[in-house]
Amino acid sequence: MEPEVVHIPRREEHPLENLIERKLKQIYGSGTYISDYYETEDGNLSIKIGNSFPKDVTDCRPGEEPVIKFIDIDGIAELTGEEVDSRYKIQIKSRDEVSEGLTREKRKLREDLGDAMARATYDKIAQTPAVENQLNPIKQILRWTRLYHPASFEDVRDAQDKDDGKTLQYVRTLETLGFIRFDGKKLYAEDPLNKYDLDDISTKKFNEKILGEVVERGYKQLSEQLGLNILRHLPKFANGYYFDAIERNDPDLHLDLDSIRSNIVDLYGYQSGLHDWVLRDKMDELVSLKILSEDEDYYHANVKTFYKVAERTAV
Amino acid sequence: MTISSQDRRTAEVQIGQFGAQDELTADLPNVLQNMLHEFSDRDGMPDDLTLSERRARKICDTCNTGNYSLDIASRLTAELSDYPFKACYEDSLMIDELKAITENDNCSLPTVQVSPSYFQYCQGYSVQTDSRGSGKDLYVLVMNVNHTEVLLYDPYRFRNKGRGNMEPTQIDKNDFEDAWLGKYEVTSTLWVEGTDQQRITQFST
Repeated sequence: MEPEVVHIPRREEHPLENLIERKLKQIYGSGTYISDYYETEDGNLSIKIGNSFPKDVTDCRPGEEPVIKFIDIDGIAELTGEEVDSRYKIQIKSRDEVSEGLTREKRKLREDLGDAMARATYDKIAQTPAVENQLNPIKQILRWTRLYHPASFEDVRDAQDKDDGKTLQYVRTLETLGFIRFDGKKLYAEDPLNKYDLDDISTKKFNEKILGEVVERGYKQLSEQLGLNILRHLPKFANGYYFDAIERNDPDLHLDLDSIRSNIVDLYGYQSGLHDWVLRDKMDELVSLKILSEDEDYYHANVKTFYKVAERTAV
Repeated sequence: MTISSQDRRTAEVQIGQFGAQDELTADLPNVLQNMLHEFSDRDGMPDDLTLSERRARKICDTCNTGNYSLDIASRLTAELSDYPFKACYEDSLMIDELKAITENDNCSLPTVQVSPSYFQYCQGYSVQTDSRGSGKDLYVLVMNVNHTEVLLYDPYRFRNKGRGNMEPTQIDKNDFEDAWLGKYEVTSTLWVEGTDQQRITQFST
């Protein structure tokens, strides 16, 4: 549909950058803007484009005025151009490609928010039985490395009895995160692990603290590389609320279950299978973990969590 | 002279027939649909000179980054090819020319693009700007231009959630002109007009 190139004549009365931006708005949508612009002396252009899009962030309590928030995302595509005679020839990328660029950058935004949420609430998330259970092999490696220092990797692997080199994957991740060192045979405890007294190693408190630290340092690695999706689970539901609250910078924003659902669909692309009862259970779990607060039929922020997330995110 | 109560009533009746949008990024297809709906509702106009939501979105190629407005008049004209009507797009119209279009029975109401400065004056909702202090240009349908004020349909004001009756937005003419000119100081305007008065009169007989 769109042209492959557009020509922009140089005009004295308008800056070239504005003329190009106006044309790009017509092609990619009226929220398009130039986020970075560079022109070399010999008339070559390098243009990065961004997109500003509207999001409804209305408080759901009766009588509240609707509020629309614009969210700008830089660098969704890069275009080039050159001066040919007295005109500029701009190579156009397809609308599909630019649309994918926006989707990709939105996904990053969502992941940054998920990361910020996990970091802000790691101690609470690590306490939930489902997460604790999935992190058990991590806990074992940390405990055994500290108890049987330096622990033999073979022994750890045999004791865990996992398939597909899972133990090695966990060890590599814990090494990346700085908890242990692995020389190919033995596992050595590093400072973040060494700081715990041997006497504390088998206590519940150690489990909570060390797992919290692991989640805080390694949320991305654990959830992406090790497929511990459970870590993403609660932050995902929490962000159904927090995305709007952070965008509005308003911890008193009250959202109902419908708005939270539509945010989760928007952010994570859930289409179906999210029954109201299941969603309400998740919200109740978040309330009991003090990640969210509840006020009759509305959810609002836990103020401490809100400021921790806000501080950790550039949204 | 301010907008008279008669002008306002007329605009309210027109807007009462409009459909609200589902998605905030679909402002242009929604305004185009309503532009044609109002035009086809007039005496002597073909009843089915309308666009379905699907066709309107197709013409605008609506996606997450927004709408494709380059050469939109030719796509809209092609869509209306069964009838003696064409879509017209003009850069740099002046306010008096815009007023003339709103008063011309042979022309639909005009769709215009307004810059984010419009949101300072929007009614029925409020807007928080992005981190650049800006936002996205909005498409609105101009319904009446007076000496001092403009009445328009703002698609952001109404959503399919059912937030009360649809009403026209009233804005000071100078503020409207500033937003219409925008940062590039070029206005843009799209409307539909009859090409053959003789054939149009056939529809009323």
